[in-house]
Amino acid sequence: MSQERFKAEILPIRDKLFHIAQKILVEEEEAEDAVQEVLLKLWHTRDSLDKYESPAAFAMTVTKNHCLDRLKLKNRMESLDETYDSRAGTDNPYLQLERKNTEEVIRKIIEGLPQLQQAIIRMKDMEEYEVEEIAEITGTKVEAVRVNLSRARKKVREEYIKWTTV
Amino acid sequence: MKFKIKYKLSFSDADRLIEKYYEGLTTVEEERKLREFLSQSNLPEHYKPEQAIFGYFDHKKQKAPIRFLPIIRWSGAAAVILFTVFSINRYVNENQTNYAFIDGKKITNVQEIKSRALASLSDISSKNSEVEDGLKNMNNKELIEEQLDIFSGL
Repeated sequence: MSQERFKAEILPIRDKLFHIAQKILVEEEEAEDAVQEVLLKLWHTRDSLDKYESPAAFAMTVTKNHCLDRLKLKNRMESLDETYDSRAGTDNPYLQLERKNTEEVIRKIIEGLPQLQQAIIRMKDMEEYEVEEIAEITGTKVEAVRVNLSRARKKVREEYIKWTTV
Repeated sequence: MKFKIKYKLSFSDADRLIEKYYEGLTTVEEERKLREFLSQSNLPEHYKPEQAIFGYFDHKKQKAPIRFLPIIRWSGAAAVILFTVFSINRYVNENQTNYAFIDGKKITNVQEIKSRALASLSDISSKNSEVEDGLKNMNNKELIEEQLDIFSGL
């Protein structure tokens, strides 16, 4: 699917996708993030979208599944929070050594970011999309993308300093 | 030397761009300049986080698929098509020139084709006297007229 067809066929059903997401995730902000994540996912796999009889119907299915996964993950994370906190205090020399491997540290930090921020930072810093392009693909305002990108980058820096000054 | 100063960012320019980077305000081009600046060795200690972050993305970028400009993408496709057309052509031509049917069998060995062809030529070759007899007959008016009568159906 070409960029033009993606913009003509997928972006117009954004409201429908948001509606599906909000039904599952309830919170508006979370639904909005989920829709952007789905749109970025679809954008990266747009070459294979032509396989489907109705790319729009496929996009709705992807949205539904993605939101259900998100919901499951959220429930699991909440129950894991306590174990995670208790583990954070037990640091050992081996872990400290591991943390010195810069690349591994950054990779882990990025993996810890919210999914949408991960997707945006990857597109901007690795795939070299401009913020305006990402906003167009996700059907959002440039400012919204910029804020998410800024949050992601600041978080990576902050976490990196925390990890390396143990 | 002058070129080098122009090319590399000054510390103050780099600091300004780093600040913009964290606000999500740098363009891809500005980030390229910043990456170049941060890839220098012997930078002050406080650039460590940015060096680590940019170093990470730089490394990942080499693995990530490259976004070709459309013209490069199309010229690549054109090259593939041309190559395919030429190789099909070659393949077809090769098949056309290198075989012969002998007694209903397809033979591709050139040496065999040659020897079989010579053998079949010797079968139909005739002695000089036979050729002369044939030529004499061609001058025989009676014979020719006889033949013509047969063909004209008289």
